[in-house]
Amino acid sequence: MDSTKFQEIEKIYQAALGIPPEMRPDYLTEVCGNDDELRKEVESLLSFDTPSDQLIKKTPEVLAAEMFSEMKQTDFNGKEIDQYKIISQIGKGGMGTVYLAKDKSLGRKIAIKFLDKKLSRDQDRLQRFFLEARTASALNQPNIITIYEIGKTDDHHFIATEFIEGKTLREIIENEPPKIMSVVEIAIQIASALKAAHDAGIIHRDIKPDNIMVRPDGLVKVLDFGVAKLSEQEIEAGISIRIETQKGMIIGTVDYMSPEQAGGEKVDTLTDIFSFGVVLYFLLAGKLPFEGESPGSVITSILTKEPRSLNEFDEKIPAELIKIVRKALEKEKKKRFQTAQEMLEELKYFKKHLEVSEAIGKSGQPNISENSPTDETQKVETAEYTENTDDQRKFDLRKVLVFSTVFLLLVVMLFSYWYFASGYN
Amino acid sequence: MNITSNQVTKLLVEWGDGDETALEKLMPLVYEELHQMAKGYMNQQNAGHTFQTTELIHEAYLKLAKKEEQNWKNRAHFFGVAAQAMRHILVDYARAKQMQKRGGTEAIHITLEENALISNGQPDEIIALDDALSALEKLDERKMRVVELKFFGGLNIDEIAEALKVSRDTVKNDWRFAKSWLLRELSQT
Repeated sequence: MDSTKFQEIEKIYQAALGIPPEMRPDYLTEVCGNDDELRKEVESLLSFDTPSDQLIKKTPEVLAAEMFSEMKQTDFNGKEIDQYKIISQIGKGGMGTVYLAKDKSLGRKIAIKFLDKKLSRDQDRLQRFFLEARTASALNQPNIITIYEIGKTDDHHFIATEFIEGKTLREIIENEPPKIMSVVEIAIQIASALKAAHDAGIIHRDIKPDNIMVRPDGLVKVLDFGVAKLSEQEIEAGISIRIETQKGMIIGTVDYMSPEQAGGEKVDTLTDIFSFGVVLYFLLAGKLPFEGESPGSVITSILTKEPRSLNEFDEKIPAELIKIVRKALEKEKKKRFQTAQEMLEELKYFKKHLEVSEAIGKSGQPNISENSPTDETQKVETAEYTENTDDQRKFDLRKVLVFSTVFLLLVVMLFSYWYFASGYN
Repeated sequence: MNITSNQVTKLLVEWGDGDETALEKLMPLVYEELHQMAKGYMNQQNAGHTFQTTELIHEAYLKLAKKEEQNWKNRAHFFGVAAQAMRHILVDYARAKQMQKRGGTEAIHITLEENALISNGQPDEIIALDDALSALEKLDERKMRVVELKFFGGLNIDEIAEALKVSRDTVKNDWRFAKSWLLRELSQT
């Protein structure tokens, strides 16, 4: 069809529309004459005349909305950013999306997290975030994820970190609840990470099972240091909380919040202690200490309710450990452990206690040799103390001391037995 | 991209005076601006929220042309460009998605997409419409323009008449005929 023909068709079409439908056939016979093709064209076009302005099922508005909601999650798969080649998406959270990537210059695997754009919009927060990320990158503690680079591409901010092969605490809990000894080993490493961060003036603010990973060799890594500040939820009037949902998924959880966080107050390092307590409780009980049907009721629970005793879930959980968890979960800040260091000491002390009682339980007498109860423990201890040989020495010394004390005690008991037994005779 | 509102205004005036090269220069600016704005706009909304393209285009105009140049004519010209930009943005995206689908390496991914294709009817309707519009342009450029302004720009009859410097009746007739013609084309694909 050419435009002349097109114009001819339109002319007849418009004229036909101007007359009542029942008169159209006669009109078309009159104007088209023997030109059947022309008549068919006009008739078919007239059959498509409709009062609706819809051309396709989806309006441009709907299409645009769909398009932009898909574009919101920029897909970095396969892209190259600086020296990083993005391999695959490995996670998604409230802060952004994490990809596995390869550092082409060093040939190693890394994890790269792209911050959600909406978080990048607030310049003030972004500045604070970078400041903290920079501080966190200087932490250099084996239980804290190593930050390689903080950068920006086009309009996406990203953080490149070490890639950790392992499972998150959430995955571990969901698969198989860990034994008491593993819980304690994990707890000691989390406490060590918190201590290092707090010493450097960094508050994590988002300690939860999803932010803690355990490598196959038992080394624990705490992720997202300082990142949490950006995603801090805005809480108004104590209870109403803004939870952003995307495709029905709740981003950001209130489950691990401290009372001061839930109450919208200013937070300090003690908020991490509380959240850490919630994680420990969850590890031991398999249930959260503060539950609720909605984020609001969880918050009410955090602010007002006392958690059920851990013994209700498992009577084998030692009283000392329960005491530690309870102290971390104190609603009043001044009743909590005042520092991560303090909590770390208690956990370590408890671990020694547990080791000794396990050793006694196993062989009837303490095992003074250097062998730890399990290989795993050995590895964890190595990892935990790789940095600090002084600590290693202190640790060995304490171990020897504990064992010697127990040994001495046994000797005294044997001696008394012998003494009384012979005295009786 | 650093463009001043003066530049935009100048280009709009030039285009309004019949300089087609002005449109070529204007187009990428508007395209980019709309794209960025729409992304930002969507980021503030819940997923699935529908917004008015007119609203978006109007905002883009305010941003690009600034208030001192908000006269009716330039606004109409701008809407013309913006509607065109909107069409390109949507079609580009649909094409990119189609390419992705074809070039996809993951079997699961393809299956999922294919399912979407069956359940949603024809997700590539927009591409078919774009093709039909291009065919219409060859036969009657003004009709294509009317459709673009009405459908992609969300303009009303008066605004289209102003933008194209034709009467309201012409716009009405053009729209009615073009609509029938396009619907017939689409029914054949």
